[in-house]
Amino acid sequence: MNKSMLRYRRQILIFGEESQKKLLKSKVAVIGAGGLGSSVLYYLASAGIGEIKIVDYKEVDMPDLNRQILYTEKDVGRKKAEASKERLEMLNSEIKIQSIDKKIDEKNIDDIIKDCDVVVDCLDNFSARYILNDACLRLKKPLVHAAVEEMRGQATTVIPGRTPCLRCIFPNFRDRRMELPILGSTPGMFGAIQANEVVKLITGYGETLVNKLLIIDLKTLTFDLLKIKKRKNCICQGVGT
Amino acid sequence: MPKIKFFARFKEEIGKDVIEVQADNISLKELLENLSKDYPKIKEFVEEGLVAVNHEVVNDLKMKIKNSDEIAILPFFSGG
Repeated sequence: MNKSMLRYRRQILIFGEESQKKLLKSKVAVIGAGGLGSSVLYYLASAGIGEIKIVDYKEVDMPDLNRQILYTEKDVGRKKAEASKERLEMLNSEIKIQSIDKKIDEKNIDDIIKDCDVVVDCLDNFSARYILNDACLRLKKPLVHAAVEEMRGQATTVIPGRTPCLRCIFPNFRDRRMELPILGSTPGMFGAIQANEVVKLITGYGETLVNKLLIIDLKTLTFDLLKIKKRKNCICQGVGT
Repeated sequence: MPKIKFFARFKEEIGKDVIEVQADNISLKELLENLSKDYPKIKEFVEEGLVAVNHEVVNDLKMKIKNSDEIAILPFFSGG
């Protein structure tokens, strides 16, 4: 095993060197570098995703530090795009990390994700999620979704044409304008699940959350894996495989 | 008798894990409407959450309910 593969030795034991090469050749966009994004980005960088795009337009704020573990007290006031790139380059200097200091919208999203193999939804609202969902359908990009609140959350993986999209599962969600309660370990856990999904999608190892919705309540330690179906008349119905 | 299970915030708001109801050859929509007479919050839960029958999320509430069915009403989340 060559030196650059040495850091991946323990995971190569799971899925082999060829799969590791697939990860090193892959490109993944992580939309949102907050609670979910912190966890996803750490694990994708350490797993050796060859190129990671980080998209976030906000600055680090002190109340972010209970869950956004990419950042330290010294990062308060800095742009998340810049601070997260710096941190991840310290973790893995052999991968390429691109940071995009932008809020996603209908005009810029296609350009951001068009050259990526997988897109990860680490957003904090459904208005932006619908924009991301629709772009992934247009460009046929796998989308790994999670969302959290308090000590609970949900996750699924959308494969355009093959699975329900976010609009099928969560139609007409209206975002509440309030500060949501959240314990840091909740997005930590869901971000880890999302990173797992990305690695499985790229390597083909294991089973993914395709056509399934995972709902976890960490307060009561209830885990539910529900089957999901496409919704009639949803915009995703016209998307071919 | 069909069972209706509540999860997370919904369970806390309604104060029960499970409600068992008498229902014979009616649709899921009718069942939930009947139930919301005693538990008015259910209407809000259905609008804000997901309804699953036998561990499958349903998009159409017109489906007929059987005695052995297990219905779940779950909230979903939006934060990141």
